[in-house]
Amino acid sequence: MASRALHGEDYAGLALAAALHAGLLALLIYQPGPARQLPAPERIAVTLSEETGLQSASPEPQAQAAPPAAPVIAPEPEPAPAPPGAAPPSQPLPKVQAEPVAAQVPRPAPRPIPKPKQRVAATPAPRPVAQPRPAPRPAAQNRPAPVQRAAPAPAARPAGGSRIADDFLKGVPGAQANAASRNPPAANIGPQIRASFAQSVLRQVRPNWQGRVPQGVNTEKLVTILAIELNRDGTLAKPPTIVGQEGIDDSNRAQAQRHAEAAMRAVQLSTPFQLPAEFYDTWKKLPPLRFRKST
Amino acid sequence: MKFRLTILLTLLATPALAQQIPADPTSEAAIDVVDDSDWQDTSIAITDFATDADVPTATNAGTTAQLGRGLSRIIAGNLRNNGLFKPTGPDGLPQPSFGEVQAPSFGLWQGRSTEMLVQGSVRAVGGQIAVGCYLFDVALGQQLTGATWTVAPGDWRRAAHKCSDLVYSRLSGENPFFDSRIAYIAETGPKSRRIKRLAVMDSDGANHRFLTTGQAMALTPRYSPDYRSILYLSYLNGNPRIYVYDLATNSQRLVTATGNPTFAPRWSPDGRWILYSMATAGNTDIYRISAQGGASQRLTSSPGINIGGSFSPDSSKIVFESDRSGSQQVYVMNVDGSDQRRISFFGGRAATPEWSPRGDQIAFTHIAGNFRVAVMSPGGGTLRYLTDSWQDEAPSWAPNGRIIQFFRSERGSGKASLWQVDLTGRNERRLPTPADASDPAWGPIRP
Repeated sequence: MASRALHGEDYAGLALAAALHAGLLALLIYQPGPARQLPAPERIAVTLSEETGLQSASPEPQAQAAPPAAPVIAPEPEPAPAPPGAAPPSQPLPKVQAEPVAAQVPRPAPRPIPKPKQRVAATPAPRPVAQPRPAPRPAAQNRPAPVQRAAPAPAARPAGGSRIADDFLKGVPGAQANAASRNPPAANIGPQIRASFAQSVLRQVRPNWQGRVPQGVNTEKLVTILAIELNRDGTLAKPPTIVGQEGIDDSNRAQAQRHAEAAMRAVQLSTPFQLPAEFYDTWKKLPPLRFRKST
Repeated sequence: MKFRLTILLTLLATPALAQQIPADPTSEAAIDVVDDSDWQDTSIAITDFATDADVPTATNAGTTAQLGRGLSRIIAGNLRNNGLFKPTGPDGLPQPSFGEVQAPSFGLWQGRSTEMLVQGSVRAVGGQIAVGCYLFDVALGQQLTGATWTVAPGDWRRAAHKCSDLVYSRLSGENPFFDSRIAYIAETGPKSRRIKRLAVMDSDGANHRFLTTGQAMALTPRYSPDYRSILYLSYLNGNPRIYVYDLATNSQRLVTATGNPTFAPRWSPDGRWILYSMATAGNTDIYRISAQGGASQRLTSSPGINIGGSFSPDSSKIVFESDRSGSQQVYVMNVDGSDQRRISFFGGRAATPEWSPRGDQIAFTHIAGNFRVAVMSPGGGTLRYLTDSWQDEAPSWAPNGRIIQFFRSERGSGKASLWQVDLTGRNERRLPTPADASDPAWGPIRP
């Protein structure tokens, strides 16, 4: 069958396949010139902080955390008894809480459109079908998460306190201060904050480095790495030190020193750095600065 | 069945399309300061060179005060148009007193938003001229460099060139080149009866001088490394022959006595050897001879035209042009003629190679339609075009190996002029010459 199959159209098919492959191969080998240069998108400076916080960290290490809940708490609502076999608890449906104001006046059909301030309870919601209380438009409703009204009358809840989303807003156990800070207390300044100081330094140095990479062959390959130490007033504690230089070759060797000099000049022109003095310990020795030309 | 076969074959080809995504090696936590702007020309203010006493001098510039203004004008002219600096002054700038030359009031200059400041002094000392030159970083308020020279009155322009070199070297990292001279061929007369004369001038076109009368056509001059003589090709008595022109005595001699045409002369970097090409019986080969004379040594022997030849800076290798492969291409050989190999594989033809004084590049004329000046690495890689015009040819290097001089012919009229371009190819500048000009050759930095 195989030998018979290789007659007639088969040869045509094979020849076609071979020709297409040859074409594909030729296309891959002789790609027409370098890829067309697309206009480079506008540059956005992005800084990735790769420091890991080995200690608990916070922007305000000594801050008192917020209390776990609002001052006035409504009594725990009785969960509506769910009939057995109604809904599998493994399928928690997000429950849309109607606004208390709307709920105070019992209306037959409150609009279930979620308001911007909607809160989601994590407790598994009983199926509305199984509810003893008649839900507004129970049968015709086709919505994924029908309105579920809390079992106790909303009037029982005075304004202010809420236990909604307890699991999210637990707060910190034992916190005393009355909403002094929204940050949890921690022992140290976090890597994000360090990164933001680095960002601040970058913002101040960068303008003095624009158009400053020396002209010459291959100077765009040069990288100068400087370490700087700062005084409390943002001035340099000592002249910047060259940690290293990269990308030096025969053609740009003459410019390497000039590159380093221009980098140091950019730092010097940026002083005094505007940084918050209370965090001096954090920024007095910053990560090294890598000066280079964009590629 | 046959469909399955086709599909199988198609699938087999697809892995070739798999792409490789290069990993981006980002540095640890370093602050990445990126320069994504184009180069900004460094603004330099150049004030009149101040003098302690305005006295007459033996220079052609006048008194010391006039000399001071002349010096700063030359420096501003030198630093202009080379793509690195934006010089201002001396006109329209506050002029320092003699005492302020080394202690400028930086506040004043910071207000004028200039980055660098060049100030200098000029004094008449005996019959000589003493010139001081100082470069300041205005923003940082500190002196970057400074020097003083004492020159003969006739050489006062050299003091300005030396000051330009000081500033250029300090701010670019490159070796100096302004204090140098250029030999070239001045062309006058109609196209059919062109008169070509050997001429020399300073790097800025000043101190121009014709060396030959034009009775015999002159071509391809080359300054000796000590500036004492010039090698060139002359059609004296109708025979193209290489002569050594002695600048001190204004006399010339044949490099080698032969009845055959000789051409394309070059010096070795130390000035002890001369390369030339000689045509014998349809073949042209490259020869080497001592600058003092003596016997010639033939370096090439393959059939065809082997011509030109330019030493590497360490004098160990020679780059030359040969048509042994069928068209003009660039070859490299050892200085004794061994290990000849082709290095230009760029399509088209490649001619007139010249090794950079720094050794890192070879300049040549790439002929593919138009004539363009290009550079490549000594191994033959990375072709880079520096010019893009109808006919640019005969590149020759500035002493610092960073600027290339060539001549450009206009389409139609054929008028030729001297041009300079830096190694980035971005900064072209026409050199002023009194007549049309071709075949430029840059001498080394003056001793």
